[in-house]
Amino acid sequence: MKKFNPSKKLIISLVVLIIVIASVSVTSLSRGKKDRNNFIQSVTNDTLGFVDRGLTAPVRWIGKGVDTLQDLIATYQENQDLKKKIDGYELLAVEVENQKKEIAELQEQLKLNETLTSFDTVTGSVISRSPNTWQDILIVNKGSKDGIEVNMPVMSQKGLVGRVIEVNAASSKVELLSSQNKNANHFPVKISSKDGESFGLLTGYDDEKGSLAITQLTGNYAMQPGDVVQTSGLGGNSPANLVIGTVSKVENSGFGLDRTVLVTPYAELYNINTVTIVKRLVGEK
Amino acid sequence: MTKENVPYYAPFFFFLCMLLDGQIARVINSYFQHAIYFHSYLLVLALVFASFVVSKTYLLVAATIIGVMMDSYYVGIIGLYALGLPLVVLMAYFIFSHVKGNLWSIAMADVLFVTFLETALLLVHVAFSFITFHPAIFITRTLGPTLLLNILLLILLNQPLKKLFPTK
Repeated sequence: MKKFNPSKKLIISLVVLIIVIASVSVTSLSRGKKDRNNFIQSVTNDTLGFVDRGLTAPVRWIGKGVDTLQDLIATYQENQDLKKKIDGYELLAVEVENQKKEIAELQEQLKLNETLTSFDTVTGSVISRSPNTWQDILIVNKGSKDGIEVNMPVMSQKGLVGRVIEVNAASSKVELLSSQNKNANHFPVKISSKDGESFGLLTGYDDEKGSLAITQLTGNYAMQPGDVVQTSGLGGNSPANLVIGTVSKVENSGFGLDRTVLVTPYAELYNINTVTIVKRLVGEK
Repeated sequence: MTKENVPYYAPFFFFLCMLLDGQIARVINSYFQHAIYFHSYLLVLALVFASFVVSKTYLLVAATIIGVMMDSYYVGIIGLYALGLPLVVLMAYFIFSHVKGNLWSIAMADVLFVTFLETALLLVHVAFSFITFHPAIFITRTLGPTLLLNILLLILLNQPLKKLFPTK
């Protein structure tokens, strides 16, 4: 029988610990910084993504069955709500069309082709979601070959949901706004209220209330619940005017010097099947 | 399927379990609208059942490779599951060298392993200050539902897994 040798075991566990700490530090630091993932990780992730795509379809099919039943129940209420909304729609459509024309004419006069608001979009479908809920990450089937780059904002049908943090050749990872990650980049946002626009940073997510938090506000404009929150386009990563949500509450934080604005996001941050990745056109490198 | 064949198809099965874990968690969590979190650990079950059949070194290597792949694919930070899964394998060999593996003892071990993995993952995240967390919320909203789901999975998959990893 082998003799128990504590010093050997101790050395092995120490070496393993050092390797793990080094690996976690290096990979977490490099994530979200490089434009493209390294070759080995990129190939591994793309291969896994390819196989996983085969699993997504049947799993989604089962999920859809459950959803259909829920939809049936919700349809009546939804129909009532929509009827109310549609009254003003025609007028709005004409108005938007007119304004679009006017903006195009004015831009032509200014010889301005690309503004902060102009962007390209790439639509991708979600392959999987990280089972590790501490990192709220989606895996999407578009990568660097579709022109995706790190830090691009990502929208669902209704509004902003997150940003790209890692790009492989044929897949990429999207970190959702609901992520608990403290090291994530923050979106610069603006709040349009009656008095004027206030600017701030989207810095956190309150799990219990399901609302996003804006801090580091500039300006002293009063804000009402219901005011629209959009990206401001400052900071160079995201285009302006991507919708995020509406103000739900304004809180005085700390010593009353700073305000925190809670925002109800338009987009659902669960059950996302397709995403639109937004590419800003102005200020391209 | 005989005991001799297990090392040939086991890695593919682990791989499948890993992807299925992601999909199962996604469907269940979107149904509960992320009010509570269920993490599926089919992979841990598969590793436990495999530990009755294959050698320790083989399973340690397999668990490490699967762990690295999981880290790379799901999180992008390598070293979370890559450390956790081999440790679970070591614990499985240690426990089942003292206890006979039946449904009851495997269920108890599963509770232990899943709790260990969840807590270890959380601690790594906190140690590297990736997140802020509250212990009470973690236990009620993540650990509890996760254990429940995994016990259910074990009861459902006990027989198929026994057939897949035959001890004779």
